[in-house]
Amino acid sequence: MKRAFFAILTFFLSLLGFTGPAVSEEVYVPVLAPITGFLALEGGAQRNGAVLAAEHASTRHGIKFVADVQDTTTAPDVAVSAFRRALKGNKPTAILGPILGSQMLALLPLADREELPILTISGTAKLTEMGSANVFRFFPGDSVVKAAHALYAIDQVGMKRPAILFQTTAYGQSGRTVLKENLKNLGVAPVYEEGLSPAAKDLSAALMKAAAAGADGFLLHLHAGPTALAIRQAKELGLDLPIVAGSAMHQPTTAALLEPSMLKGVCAESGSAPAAETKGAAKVFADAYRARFDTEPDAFALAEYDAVGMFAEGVAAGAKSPESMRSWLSKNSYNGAAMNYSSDGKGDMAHSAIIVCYDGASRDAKVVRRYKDGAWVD
Amino acid sequence: MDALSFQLLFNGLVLGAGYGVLGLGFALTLRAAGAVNFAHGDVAAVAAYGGVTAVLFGATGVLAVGVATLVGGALGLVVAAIAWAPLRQRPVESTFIAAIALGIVAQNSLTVGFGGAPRALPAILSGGWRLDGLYLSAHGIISLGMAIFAFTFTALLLLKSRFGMRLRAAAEDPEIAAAHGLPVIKLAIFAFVFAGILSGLAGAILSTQHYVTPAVGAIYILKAYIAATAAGWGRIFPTALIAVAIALFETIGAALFSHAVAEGVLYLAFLTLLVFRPEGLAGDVRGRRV
Repeated sequence: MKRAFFAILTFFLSLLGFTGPAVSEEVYVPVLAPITGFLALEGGAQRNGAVLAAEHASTRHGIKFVADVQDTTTAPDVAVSAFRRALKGNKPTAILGPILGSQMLALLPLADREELPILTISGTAKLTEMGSANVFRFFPGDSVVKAAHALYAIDQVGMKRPAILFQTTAYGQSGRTVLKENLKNLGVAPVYEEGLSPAAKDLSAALMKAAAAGADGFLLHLHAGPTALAIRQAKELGLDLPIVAGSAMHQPTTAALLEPSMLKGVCAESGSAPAAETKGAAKVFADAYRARFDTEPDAFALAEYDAVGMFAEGVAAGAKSPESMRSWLSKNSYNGAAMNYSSDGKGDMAHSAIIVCYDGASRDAKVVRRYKDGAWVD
Repeated sequence: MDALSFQLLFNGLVLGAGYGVLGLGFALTLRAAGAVNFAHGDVAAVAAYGGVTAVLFGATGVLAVGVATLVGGALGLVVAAIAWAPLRQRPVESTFIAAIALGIVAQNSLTVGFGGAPRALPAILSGGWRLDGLYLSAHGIISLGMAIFAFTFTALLLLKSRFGMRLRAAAEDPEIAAAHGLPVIKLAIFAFVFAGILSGLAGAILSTQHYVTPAVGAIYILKAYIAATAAGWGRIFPTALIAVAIALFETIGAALFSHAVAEGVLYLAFLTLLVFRPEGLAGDVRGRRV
């Protein structure tokens, strides 16, 4: 009778979720991400990375991390509303900010006012140049990836007269500025530059003007769709010039838009490329991500995964208030799945980049170079 | 004219094929039902995703276009049933707010169902022809053919058929038409369905070359709305022609200036037109009637 009672009790407790790994406390992790709008691809990756990290961290640390994802769309005011919503009730230990640079720029003063650490994977250079003690960036900023971008194009591909096509968004303008600075440091000036709206539907004019200006290669700093469109139209126009693209091109979903033959001679910078890794922690992450979400992971998902991972490690180490978390993030390093993270004093935590290339025979990218601190490290 | 100019003209016309068919459907609903269907761009996006789904199940490019047009037609019926029929006696704002709401639901449903990654329909015929520095894609030529067919069919339907005459009569004055026994509501619903089919076709044309994302409907409807306003509220064929002109301007203007400047000039021209000729280039059908 007693055995039957406990069996029934166990059954009902299991329905209520009382079984599984023992958890001693619950930690609320607000995640602000552009789930809808023109950055939904990157926002979705950010969301998935955070959710997976919270699940893994709960198992690892015996603390239940609850990722509370709020959609910021692509408007700064919506991000501000989401930020305020996240602060209702108990103040969180830290907040995961949106990938979109213009939204992060709007949120940073609020985070400073609330003295709340904000972890981000936005690459916009300005974020860590505003003197905020609360920003922690887990995706290599433009100062890293654009340096790798320029160095690969000049040093490895041999471009001498590149053309830059960039997006007119904060992301695009920030990348273009840093890219130009790095080209200048390498003794090269672009022969053509043009800013393109994410809504532009035909890029042939920009491509042809760049070619007419004598460009010997294209440096793209565009979102996913425009990147694929630029590559496609360049190939259709017979512009057989090398292309080194921004991080959007490392995403498997971008490559899926193009025929493998169109990808010949195309390379891209990125913070990481988990789908292209064949071993190590990034490969383990990629396998877990595929199993959990039935889709290919990208660098943004992995960066967010590592950001939440470091946050969770800080909580497990006793950083349970915004002040202690800020201090912990500033002073400690974390061996993430993509790279080793540590603050440079300004909040930049990620200092490595990679270059992937396509061989024209498949849509699978291959990591060809690894970059850190101004030089190739492989 | 050199190869560069021809190339830009060709690319602009291919883009215009999509914009034009889209504008045709938007103006048709405007004329026939008096409804500003702000969900029209989202219908095109959902229809394109319908084609993408068909491809996942093994459909060819031709079949995917067929599925997209059918999905567009079905969605036209949904828009009429939810955002127009129950609200047609209310102030006109009710309809377009309901349509905007439907569009948002459609965008978010696509994001949940397909994720945010851009998708593309396969071309009906891949490859193309290279002639003296000019590249004519097979997809582009087929798109132009489909758009010309859509324009011609719509013109014949509206201008030459008995059905089209009844539709136009119902659009001109619904009350008088109803008094003469015309099924005004059924005719308006047909206009929504037909506009949905056109929207689906436009979605298929645009998503093959320019990809489709859940949020792209907002960009589409902006072009259609500008075309309809510039042409004259309710002017069906002028709206389609101005939509083609917008595409040509976007492409050729980008070559003359830059994409950003061309976009600015386009909106400046539109504002100037609103100031000096608010009834549109071809005149406002409804305003004239009033």
